[in-house]
Amino acid sequence: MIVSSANLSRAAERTSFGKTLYYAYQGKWFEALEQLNTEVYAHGGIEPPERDAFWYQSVDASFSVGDFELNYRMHRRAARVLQTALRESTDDPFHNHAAYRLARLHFRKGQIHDALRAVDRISGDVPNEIRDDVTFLRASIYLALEWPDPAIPILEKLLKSKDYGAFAAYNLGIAYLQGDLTRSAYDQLDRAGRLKARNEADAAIRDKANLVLGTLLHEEGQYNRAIVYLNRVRLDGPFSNRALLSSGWANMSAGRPNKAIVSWGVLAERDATDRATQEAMLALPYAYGQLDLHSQAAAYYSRALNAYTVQLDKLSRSIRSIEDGRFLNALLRDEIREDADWVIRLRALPDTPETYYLTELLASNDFQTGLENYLDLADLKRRLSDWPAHIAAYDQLITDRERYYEALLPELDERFRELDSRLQQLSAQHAALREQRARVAASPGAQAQLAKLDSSLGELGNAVTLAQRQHDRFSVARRAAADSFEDYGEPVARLSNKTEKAIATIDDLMAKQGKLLEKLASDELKARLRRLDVYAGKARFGLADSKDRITREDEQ
Amino acid sequence: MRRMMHSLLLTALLAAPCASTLAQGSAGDDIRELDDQVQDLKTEVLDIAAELNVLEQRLLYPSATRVTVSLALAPNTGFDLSAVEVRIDGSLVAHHIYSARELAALQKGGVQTLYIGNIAAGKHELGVSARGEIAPDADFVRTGRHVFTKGAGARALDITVDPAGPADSGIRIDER
Repeated sequence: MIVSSANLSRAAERTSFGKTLYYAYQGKWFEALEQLNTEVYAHGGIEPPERDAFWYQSVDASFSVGDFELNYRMHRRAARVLQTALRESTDDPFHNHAAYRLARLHFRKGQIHDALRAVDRISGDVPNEIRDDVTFLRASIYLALEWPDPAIPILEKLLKSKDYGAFAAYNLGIAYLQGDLTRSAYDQLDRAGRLKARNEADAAIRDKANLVLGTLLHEEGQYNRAIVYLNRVRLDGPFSNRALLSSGWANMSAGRPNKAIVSWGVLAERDATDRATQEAMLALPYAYGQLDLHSQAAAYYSRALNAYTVQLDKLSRSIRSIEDGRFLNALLRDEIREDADWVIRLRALPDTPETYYLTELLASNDFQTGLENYLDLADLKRRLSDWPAHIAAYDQLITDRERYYEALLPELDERFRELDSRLQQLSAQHAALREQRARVAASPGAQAQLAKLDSSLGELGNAVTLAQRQHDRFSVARRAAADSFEDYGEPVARLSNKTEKAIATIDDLMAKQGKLLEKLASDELKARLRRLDVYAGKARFGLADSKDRITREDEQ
Repeated sequence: MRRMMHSLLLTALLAAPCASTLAQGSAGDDIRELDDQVQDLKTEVLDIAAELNVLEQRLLYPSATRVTVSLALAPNTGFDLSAVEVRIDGSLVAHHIYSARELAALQKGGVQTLYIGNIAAGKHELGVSARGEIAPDADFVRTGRHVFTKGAGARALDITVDPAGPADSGIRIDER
């Protein structure tokens, strides 16, 4: 079936964008964007790629404007695409969708004022599916700017939102705190800490509200009230360790070391690399000491000291491992990026020296941005490694073609001239014969001569047609031959330079990014090592002190 | 020390009330600066890649001889394509076995470039053979043929596989 010419360009567009989608649906963002760019270049696109990308993505509902760029972590290009969409769009829902996505992008990158400008462009008909998202984002921007006054009424309205209710409840408490409305803040955090959780995210935000409120009350010296909130935090949630630690300190402050022992006893048995656990290991014998149970205190100090020694050794090995470059090698392992949750997989790596103590660091936005960039650079390096060889091969191909045709072209051109001359000769003869026929036709009684002339004209016409066909075929072949090697020199040289420059830039950026990641990891570990060293010193002192007290008790 | 610990904890807890943003400080600045440079580099590399693709196409597959064969699945047919073979004038020019990810991409509307090559002007025959499952334990094999004329310009042939479609073979071939 042949597509009609009216539908031709639409079919081509569909196929062309379908090729981009083929990669995008597989999560191959580089290939998807490469396909988009290739289409733009292939069709002599003179508009900026952002405009074309916007156009492409506006015709498919599966991806929103800027998605490809965002997924490939090209936030600035995504922002340009979205800004183009904002400028071009006259449709309220589409315009507002783009403004929301632009605001969210800026907010996530910490560009709060840009986020505010983008969210302020939302007006008119806001699509239902993003209405709460827009409201929550607006409130979050105000909070980030520490503008509690406009944030508070927005968050109050969001309390009943299905998706954002729990977040709004917590953030409203924080907004009250920012506005020095302490009583309202405590009441609100109390409410947020009692919300019915519909999912894990709600439960985590509820825990966080209780932990914050408990910590605030402890700071104010309201120990008993603090304990109530700290004890509300689930024992298996992400804030559990910090809550147990704080609960222990609140009990100690309230003069109940026996209760502190319960919290710290639980915590001291947990992951020995966790900050709170390490502190609890030291705090637990301290609480026993306060109860004059010096034998238990000595036993727990000794246990803490042993644990710290093991951890100090791990930390030292980890720091050495990073300094030897093994951390970056571990990050480049292929299995890490096999699925979309590769950051989580990275954090779940087996206990290799490279990743001890780094789970918190790996979870931080800064580190993840740096890490993703490092991995993207490694991917680009791998892709570009073949390109110089490809370009050199094309260059060779062009040179070979040029040499081949150089030898043939004089002969071909000579033949072409002959053909051209013959065509002109035949055409001239044909024209002359036509004129002769016209003259003869004007004279009476020349029927026989006319018939003869017509026959000759027919034969000559066929010869002209044949010569013209040969001429045309020859022209096409001659042009194709020339096209196969002419005008490539400059683009090939430019591509070669650009590729070499890009490879050098990749190497440079990878080195810088790698060093920065190593420094971040190393600094983190060194800070933990210093802290643990202080704990070990205190444990040693506590152990000696406990033993001293036991001896004195025995003597007494 | 105890008070300091609590103040730090509180500061950390209150630092990011809702959605996290990038941290401040020199490491954060360095990462942001590098992030900008990496994004610029990506733009540059994507431009080079596109230019290289176009150059490659002009050089290796000039429009006078180029033929491109693409494949898509008919929308909403819900079948699994497992493999496809493409022949031009009886010669096998492309065959592909689909991974789950590729199949999903096709099912959602993606279009795969199966073959780009060169052929002489004149009449040719494209032959397509597709295998897959319409339902569990219900395999299908469909073949399709299409005679096309290669003229002076590039020729594109779009294959659409649809076992449930009206065409007898379940394979439609459009020419552009």
